[in-house]
Amino acid sequence: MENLPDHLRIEILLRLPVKSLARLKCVSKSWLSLISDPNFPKLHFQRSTLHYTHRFPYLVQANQMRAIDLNASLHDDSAAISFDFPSDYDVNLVCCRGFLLLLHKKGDKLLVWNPSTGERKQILLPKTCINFELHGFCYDESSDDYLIVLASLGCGIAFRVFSIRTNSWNREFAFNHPASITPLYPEVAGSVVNGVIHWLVRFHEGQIPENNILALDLKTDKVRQIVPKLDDFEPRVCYLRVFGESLALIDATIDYNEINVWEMKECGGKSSWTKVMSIPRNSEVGALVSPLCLTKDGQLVTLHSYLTPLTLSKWSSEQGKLEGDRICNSSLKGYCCFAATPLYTETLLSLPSQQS
Amino acid sequence: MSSSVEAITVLSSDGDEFKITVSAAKLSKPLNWMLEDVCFSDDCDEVPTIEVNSKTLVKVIEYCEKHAPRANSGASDSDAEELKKWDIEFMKMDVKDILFHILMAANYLHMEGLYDLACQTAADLMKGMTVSQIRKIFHIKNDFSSEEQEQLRRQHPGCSFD
Repeated sequence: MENLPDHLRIEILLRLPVKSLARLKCVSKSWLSLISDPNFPKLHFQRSTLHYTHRFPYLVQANQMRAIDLNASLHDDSAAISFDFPSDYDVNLVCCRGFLLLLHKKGDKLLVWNPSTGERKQILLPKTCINFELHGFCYDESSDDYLIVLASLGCGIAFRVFSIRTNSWNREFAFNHPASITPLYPEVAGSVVNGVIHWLVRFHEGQIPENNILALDLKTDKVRQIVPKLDDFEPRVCYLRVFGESLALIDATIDYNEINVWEMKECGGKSSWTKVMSIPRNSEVGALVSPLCLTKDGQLVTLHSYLTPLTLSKWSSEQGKLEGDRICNSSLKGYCCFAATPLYTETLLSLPSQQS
Repeated sequence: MSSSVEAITVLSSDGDEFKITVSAAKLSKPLNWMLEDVCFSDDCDEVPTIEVNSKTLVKVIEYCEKHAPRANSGASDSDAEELKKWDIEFMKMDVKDILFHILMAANYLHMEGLYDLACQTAADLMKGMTVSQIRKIFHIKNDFSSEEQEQLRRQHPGCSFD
């Protein structure tokens, strides 16, 4: 192995999970220097993004979290990782490039935490943000910065943005709208696609409230309102997910006989929607399956939200239509604490150092 | 090159002769260039040398011959499944002797599929190993001093030296 050129050794190391890499640093000096190279975490992250290495995190105990590798067999316990969870924090919010964003149980501060490296940063909430209703967490490539967005709803929306790099709540802006706006669900994180954060909210203007998507671009601090034009789309069970590189809207038909996955494509500021999958009601699992993400092999992972114990399934799809069979299923002990079920990706990335 | 040629002869770095079919050789860019450049007709004596040892070249050619039909024609999904299983069996080889030679050969011969397969196999092997197992199987010497080991242990709680 020592005879292998560095670029080939790096190719192998990039394919290893973070847990193994920590161990491999101790093999020899040359391995330590390859893994500790400042560029390595970035390359490693890019590779895992390409391979959709999502993990599903859930609490086993108040202070222990497990994250299941959704690319591996759901029965493969060795592919899961466990880490200590800071039990004074609530288990929800969201993950960005390996950093979990958590809210303290007292509701007065946030924690940005990379469980793989142990790096953590506490952020105090400004008084005006304590009762925030929407939140988002994203990375801005151009400034190499992580941004946290909190929003309070009312007539229009007031946004506050925290920048990790400057270590301050340095931006404040509003989306003005005459309608009263309410969230569809509490504590749902924004879905980030191409650096734009999307939330599904309800506009109360006419007699019938309308579900619309708000798209916040943090490069310009502009908010765009997207009206999903779907066949027979009505305010009922629906939520956003990120499928591959696209925003997906999950929507149940009125009789709950089908769950549909609509993919949004954007072209010249216009958005169009295509139905990419539809999951028929299945006698075994019922209709209340919640699509989570796609695996690297194109399988669909669903969470059976109303089953106890919590159950995940993988479905193989063919020509956009899902086959009815469950090909894998795992009954998880413990309980799901993620109202919005974020997914977690292990990374070795560190937060940008603060500018003075 | 005449279209009637179905197989070519190449030399390994040890000087042994090997036959490889034209369709299999097409899996490698450098071999493909050789096909275009070098005269492989019967009255031509020149046999190109490939800088890969015999033991490795046997395996590389075996891989090429197996993958050639699919690469050249595009095959059904069931073939892809079968090929995947074959790859797994094919990669069950003695690591220190040959896996890294295969990896270097795949790199040198620009064979993307084999390269990825070899990297992934090596990574999968390492995933479950302890540090000392890795050192043993890959012949790596522990060059940390005991002070350095102590320091690493403190800085990286995930590190283990056994």
